[in-house]
Amino acid sequence: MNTETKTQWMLLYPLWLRAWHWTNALLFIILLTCGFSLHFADSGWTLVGFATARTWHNLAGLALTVGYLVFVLRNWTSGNIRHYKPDWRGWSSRLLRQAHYYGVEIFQGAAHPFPVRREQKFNPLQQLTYVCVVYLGLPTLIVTGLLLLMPELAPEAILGMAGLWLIAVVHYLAGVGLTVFLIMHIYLATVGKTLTSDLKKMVTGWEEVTLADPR
Amino acid sequence: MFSAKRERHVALGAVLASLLLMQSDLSFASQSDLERNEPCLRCHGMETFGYVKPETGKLVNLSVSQADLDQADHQGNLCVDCHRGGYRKTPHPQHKVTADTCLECHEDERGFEKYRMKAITAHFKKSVHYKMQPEQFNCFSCHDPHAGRLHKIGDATVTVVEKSNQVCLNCHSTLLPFEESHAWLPNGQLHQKAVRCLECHTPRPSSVVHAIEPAAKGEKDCVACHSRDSILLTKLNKYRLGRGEDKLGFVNSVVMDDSYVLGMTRHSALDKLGIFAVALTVSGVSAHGIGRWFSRRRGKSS
Repeated sequence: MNTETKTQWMLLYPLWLRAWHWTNALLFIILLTCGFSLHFADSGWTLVGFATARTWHNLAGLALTVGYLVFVLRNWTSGNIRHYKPDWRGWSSRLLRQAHYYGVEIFQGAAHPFPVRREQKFNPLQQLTYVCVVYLGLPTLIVTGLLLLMPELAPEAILGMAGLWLIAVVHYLAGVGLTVFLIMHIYLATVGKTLTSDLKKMVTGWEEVTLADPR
Repeated sequence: MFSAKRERHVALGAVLASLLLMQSDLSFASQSDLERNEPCLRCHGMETFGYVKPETGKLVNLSVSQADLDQADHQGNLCVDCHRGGYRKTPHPQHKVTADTCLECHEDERGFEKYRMKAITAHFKKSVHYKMQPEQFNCFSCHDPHAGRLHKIGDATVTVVEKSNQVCLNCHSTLLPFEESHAWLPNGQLHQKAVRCLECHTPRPSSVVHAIEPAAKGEKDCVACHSRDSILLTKLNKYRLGRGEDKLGFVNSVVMDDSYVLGMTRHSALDKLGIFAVALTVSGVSAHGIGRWFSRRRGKSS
C-alpha cells in the first residue's frame, strides 16, 4: 500500500466564491455593528448612532440578501455544492474524530485528520457548520430581517401579541448564532498548515489538495 | 375643519340653511322641547348645516351629529347648558357660547378632580398654540365638545393614536403635509399609526401632553423611544403600566399587545444569553489559541 501522500495545488475557491465570501464578511461586520447599536441603543456601548445604524443595517441587509441568492444559485450551477453534501456513512464518527483533533490532537502537533481533497474541501465539522450557516442560519436571518424591514408583511399577532415580537426574537437569535460562528470562523482560519495559510487560500483561491485519501 | 368632499356638501347646505333660517323662528320652542335638544337639532342636526362667513369667505360648520353626540362624554348635557340665550330668533349670529373652556363648567365641580382640568389648562397656556394665538385657541379648537370622548383603559391603542393624531392633522395636514414635515423620520406612516404626535411634540420625559412645543423642539432622538426607558411609557402607555408587565419575560411588554418597539420591548434573559454566548466564544477561542501557542513552544523546545 502506498502511504506516501501526493498533493497538488488546485483552484478550489474561484473568484465568484471569494468575492461573495469577502463581501459577506464586510457586510456581516456592518450588520453586526449596526444591529448591536440598534438593539442595545441605550447601552452606551454603541459604535454608531441609531439613525445611521438603521440606514446601514438596512442597506447591508439588502446587499446580503442579493449576495446570498447569487451564492445559492452559483453554488448549485457550478457544482461547488458537492462540498456541502454530507457523506452519511460514518458521519458521526468522523465528526467525533474532527472534534477530538480540535480538542486534543491539535495540541500534540498531530496532522489534520481530514486533509483537503478535490471532492471534499471541508472537514466534517466544517461542513456541518457551513451547511447550518448557509442553509439555515442565513435564510432565517434574511427572512426575519426582510419582515422587520417591511413590517406590513408580518403577521398582525402571534400568541396574542404584536406579530413582530417573535420575528424580532428569531432575528436576534440568528444574529447571535452567526456572530458566534463568525468569531469561531476567524479563529479556525488560523489552524491551517500555517497561521495564515487558510487566509491566503481565501485570497488567492489556490489550495494544496491531497490526491491520495489517507483514510 | 372640513374635508374637500364635505366642503362641497356644506356649501350646498349653506344655501339651503340660509333660506331655512330666514324663515325660522324658535320662539315656539317650549322648555320641554329644549330639554330634548329637539329644536336645536332640527337644523343643527343636518349633516351639511353651515354658512359662508362673509368676512372670510370660508365655510363655517354648524352641524352637530346626533350619532357623535350620543357617544360623547357630554351626551347627557343639553344644548342650552352651554349655549345660553340669543338663539330664540334665527338666524342667531350674535349667539355666544357661554362656556369657552372646559374650566368654565369643570373648575369646581366635584367628581371631576381626576381630570385635572386646572393643570391641563395651565399646561395648555404653555403650548405654542396659546402663546402664538391666545385669542384664537381654546379647548374646543382641538376637542369637539359635541363628539369628544375620553379614551378609556382598554381602548385599542391604534384607535387612540388615530383619533389623537387626527386632531393635529385637521390643521397641520393643510399647513404642511406630514410626509414633508417628517421626511427625516424613517417609516413615517408606520410611526404615525403607532404613536401620537404628542409623544415627540410635548415636554419629555413627562406625561404632560397639552404643553405642545414648537416644531423645532420636536424629539428627533430615536433612542428617546427606542430604549428601555422609552418616553412612550410616560405618555401613550402611562395608563397601561402595571397591567400585565413582563409578559413572557419581556421588558416593557405592556406595549406588546399592539406593537413591537425595537430597543424598548426587550427580553432580559435573551439579551444576557446573547452577550454570554459571544463572551464564551471569545474566551473559548482565546484559551484554545493560547493552548496551541504553548504546545508549539513546548514542541520546539523539546
